[in-house]
Amino acid sequence: MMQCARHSTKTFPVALAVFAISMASARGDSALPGYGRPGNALNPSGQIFDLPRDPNGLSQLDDVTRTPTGLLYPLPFLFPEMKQDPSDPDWWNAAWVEAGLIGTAGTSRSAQFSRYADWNSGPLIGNFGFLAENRKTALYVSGLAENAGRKDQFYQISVGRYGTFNVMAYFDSIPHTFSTSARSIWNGDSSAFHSLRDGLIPGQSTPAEVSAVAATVAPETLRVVREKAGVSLSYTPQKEWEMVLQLANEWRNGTQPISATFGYPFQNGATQIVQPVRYRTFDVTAAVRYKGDEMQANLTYTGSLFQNDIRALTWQNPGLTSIGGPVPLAGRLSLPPDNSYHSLKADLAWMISPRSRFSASFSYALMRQDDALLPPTVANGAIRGVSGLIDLAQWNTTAALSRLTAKAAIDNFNAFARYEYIASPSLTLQFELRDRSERNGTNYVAFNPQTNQYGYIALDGGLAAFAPSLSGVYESGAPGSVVQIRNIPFANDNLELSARASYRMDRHIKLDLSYVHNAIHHSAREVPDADDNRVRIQVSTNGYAWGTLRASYEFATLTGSDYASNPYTPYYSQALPGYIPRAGGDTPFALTDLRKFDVGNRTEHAFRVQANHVLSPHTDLQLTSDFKSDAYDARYGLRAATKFDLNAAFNYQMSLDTTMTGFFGFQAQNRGAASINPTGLGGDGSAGSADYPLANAWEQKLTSQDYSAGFNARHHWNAVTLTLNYTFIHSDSALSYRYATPGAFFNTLTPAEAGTAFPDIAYSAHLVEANLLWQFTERMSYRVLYRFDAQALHDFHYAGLAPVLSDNTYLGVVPENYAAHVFGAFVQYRF
Amino acid sequence: VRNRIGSNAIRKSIRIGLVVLAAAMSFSGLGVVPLTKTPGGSQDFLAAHAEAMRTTMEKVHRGKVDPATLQQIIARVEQIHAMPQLAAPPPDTSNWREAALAFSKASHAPDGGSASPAMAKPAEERTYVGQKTCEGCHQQEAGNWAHTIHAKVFLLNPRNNAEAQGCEACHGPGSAHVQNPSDLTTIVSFSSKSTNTPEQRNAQCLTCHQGGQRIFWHGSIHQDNDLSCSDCHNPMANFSARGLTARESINDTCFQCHKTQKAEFSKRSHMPLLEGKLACTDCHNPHGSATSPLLKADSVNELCTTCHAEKRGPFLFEHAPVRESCLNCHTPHGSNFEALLTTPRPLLCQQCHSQDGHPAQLMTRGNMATGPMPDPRLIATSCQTCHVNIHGSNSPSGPRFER
Repeated sequence: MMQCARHSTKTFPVALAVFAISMASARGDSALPGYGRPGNALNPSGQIFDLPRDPNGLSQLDDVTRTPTGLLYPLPFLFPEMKQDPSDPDWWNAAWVEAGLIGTAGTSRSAQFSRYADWNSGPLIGNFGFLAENRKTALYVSGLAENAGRKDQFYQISVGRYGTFNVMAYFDSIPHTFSTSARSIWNGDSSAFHSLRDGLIPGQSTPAEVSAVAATVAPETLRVVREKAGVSLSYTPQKEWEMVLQLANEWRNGTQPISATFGYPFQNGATQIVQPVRYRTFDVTAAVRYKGDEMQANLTYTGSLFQNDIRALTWQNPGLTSIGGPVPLAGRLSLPPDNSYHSLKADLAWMISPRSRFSASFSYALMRQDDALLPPTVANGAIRGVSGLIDLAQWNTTAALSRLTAKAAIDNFNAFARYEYIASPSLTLQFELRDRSERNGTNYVAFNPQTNQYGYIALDGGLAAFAPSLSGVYESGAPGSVVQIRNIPFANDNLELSARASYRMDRHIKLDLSYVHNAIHHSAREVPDADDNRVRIQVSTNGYAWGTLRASYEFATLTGSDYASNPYTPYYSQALPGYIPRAGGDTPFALTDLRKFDVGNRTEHAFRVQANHVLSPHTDLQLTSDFKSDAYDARYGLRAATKFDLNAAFNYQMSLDTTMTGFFGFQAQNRGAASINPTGLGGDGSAGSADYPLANAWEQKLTSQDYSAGFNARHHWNAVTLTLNYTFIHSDSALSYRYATPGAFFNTLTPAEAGTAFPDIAYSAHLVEANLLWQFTERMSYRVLYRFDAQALHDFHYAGLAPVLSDNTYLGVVPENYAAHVFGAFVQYRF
Repeated sequence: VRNRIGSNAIRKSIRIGLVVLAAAMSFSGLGVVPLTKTPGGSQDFLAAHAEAMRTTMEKVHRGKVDPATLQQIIARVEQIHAMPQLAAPPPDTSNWREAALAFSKASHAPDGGSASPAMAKPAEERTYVGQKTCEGCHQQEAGNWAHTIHAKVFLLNPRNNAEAQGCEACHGPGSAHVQNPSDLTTIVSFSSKSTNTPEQRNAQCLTCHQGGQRIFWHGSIHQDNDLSCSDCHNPMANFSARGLTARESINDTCFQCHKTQKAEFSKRSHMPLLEGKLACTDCHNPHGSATSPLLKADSVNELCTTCHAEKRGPFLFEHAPVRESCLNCHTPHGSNFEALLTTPRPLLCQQCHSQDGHPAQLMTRGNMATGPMPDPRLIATSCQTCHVNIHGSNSPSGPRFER
């Protein structure tokens, strides 16, 4: 029956492979979490390959076809035919392959160039796949491979029956390259213990020795590759019921840069080291869905089990120090612990009557983590305390812990309900409720039963040499011994109520007015309770011949209860009986006039406009603009943030053979913040006090501007199609600062040395891509690819970075600018 | 300070009320209106109306298509008679499809409940004419449609009588359209020429696609903005490798409107979306969700830790803004600063941290690696050079996230 379509035998086939490998897959489900799909940098859209376009377009009756919003639909692809199996006429099959060579030139070794892609020169099987289907039984089997054998490879095989079930297995790989120029002064980068290379002695090395060893080390690539294998099943036994099961196991293996320190800045040095990554995550999702005519319901279980094979990293300390004296010989860093997540969710939608609809969702989620805890330190010997020496032998085993495992637990409950009522043909009312409650059940006390002391060992003893009061151990007899002695169980609750009225003025124009009230409760935060109120008005049009306009304005205020600058006393040694404050009062925890932006008061205005204009029957023009302004009720801290963007896009379908698109974007962002450099004198945290003198006040302003532009052009001559793409982006972020006096930086620099701004963080990128496709025969085509990719990043954080700076060591991980060319030649064949 | 006891009582009451309501509704009826079949087919209709169709086709398309195409169209009308009859009979026009449309009709018909323009004629007066009839004029469309998953399901394994109608499964019974093709109120159409409201168009799609991953479509931001399914999907051709999207990929489809996000993904730090390894729908459900930004999880953090499970914890020592929302420090779509940060460090941290010691000291260009006083608080990863486990530490010595 399919043959009646114009291209039925010519067009039916490989296209079907496309949806056979995707449409029916549960993994493509827009409601279930998880990644893993065809596509790579060479083929971002995941198309089976660069197919020609259908010269007849979408319709013979209309030159162009537009979406209801008024945007032009693109031209459809022209698919090759599928073959009938001579041995069994019910089966039809197709297979295709695109293979060839790619080569790179220029600075193609750059980490940024291959950050998420594998551009290595050599043979490339870019695309290989097949589909076989039985047109009598609707059974099918399909397979797909992309970039086979490369770090960004993808494989998928599906078996199913159209409209009934699909079983699909896949494997996806995503590289993440951090650096190709790292030079580690440690051995064993892939292990849990990093020993210093020959020529360096733990705790006794000099900057010259470290530099010398670093100079002899070959550059190392730091890269983590995500590899994910999964199976999914979707089954629709009848229209009303659907069952989905997804299982996936993800491996993340490789190395990445990480840092850790042995002291305060300018005492014992910080070290940048290599973290071995051995992560595994097992995910399972199971859903049962009912899709009745008047009522629909989902029941979904989601589970995720994370496992890290290396949960602690021990590394030897080269021992660079600016203050002399003993330094720790090694440190131990905790790495992400194993954890688990389980969520059960029930969704419901009910058309109560033709005029009213109700929907709701309830979920309960458990997060658990019960890893074995590390001893407070890996160090030996003794460190200085205020009251005397601290014997680390009493702190370097798990006997120094109040308990052996973390027993960390957080539960979440979510409830959502929406009721929609059609009050009249032109007026619709909607009411919503959202409730999210979080319970943090983690309760850890830092108490050493061997010494009957609260606290821990800070930086494996590195801080104590410089400041005994910062050893981490609470010394009950020492005034002002402030130490955190237990975890802080942060949790947040939200109860949101909203109402919306939607008034359809006529067939084309709709007006929306909404109000949202969100009651927020923060546990153990500066603002326990806050109210977020939002009012929004929006107008949207539809069905006009000239296009579509949508515009909205939103006003929001966040006001909270009284701001407490230190709500954390219950979790510090100050809460212990017998605590002795420092004479004159303990050092203030924070500047009392500072407001943390995530909980502080805020006033917000937001405008959004989107216009689609049909310039001509073959031309679209789109304009979008957003503006958002946040003013924080704060003298210090983040004061204000604004964001503006303007975008224009152009689409011209000159003919079925020639199309062009272009776009331009501009974004601007401003943020302003202020603070005071504290002196540590006195016990008053207010601005202008001895501890926070106004002479030490400063403010910073961040101004960012981003420009992006690009175009795409395609032209078709007989059997040849040329496609050109160009994309450009330039970002410039200026961070400037002002200060009252050099006290803002403790007079460590002169005003001339300090200046008034950092060098701009500037990023520019150009991407040119040209594809020439020659349809040699119906089954064979040739493709030639040229790609020019260039990036230049200037970031003051990395300017002048050396293996040794003061008493700190670095791997040499810096932005790796590049200008690289990619050449490719491929043969495409449809079997 | 607010009275938390009262707030908690309200919460508890609301939760109990919702649970009770949900339970009540779950017992209120999950029945399905059974499908019934009616006799008849397209062949009789075609034979009776062939001459009228030829005349009408010529009238409608003359001057709008080239002469060769016009002759092709007219010729196809004559060929229709020779085509085989569709296997499945037309469905009962009072079946479940009409029930599903009722909500839309009630809400958006100008007179408050009468039929939509496309449904201007009572359903019982319209009949199915069969896919072959449609192909007589719309052969190009049919050829493109033949590639799609809809064609496979409808024609190889229809699950009900409606699907077996092919074109008319979505466009509605075509008899009135055949009689007056230039009047688009006689058919449900999905492009910009459509005379239907977005709700009417969407109701057609939802007759099969309601519930499941679209269970929260009604009331979602996309529905509020009068979007039609066919703004993002084009079921008439395979533009994309998946999802019958209106552009070549999910991302390109979203970028039709979300231009800012497209620009952001080109910035210095971004997730591998433009590199083809992620899609907008890995994080968002454009068909609606229980969260206002259409997230696929119940919160930002639960969504982010789907892929970044190592940061999920819970940890022995948590960082307050991290526990609250990843978006306090990160912007999800792209940033000019490393690691998708909203603000360069150390200013990012200094927005909140003013403790005695070193956090609130102003860093200047003199503290750069090239300056007279290089400072690890500014250089490279800045504050995270020392406070490395900033997303949470599981070390007993990690209250300050240094271990």
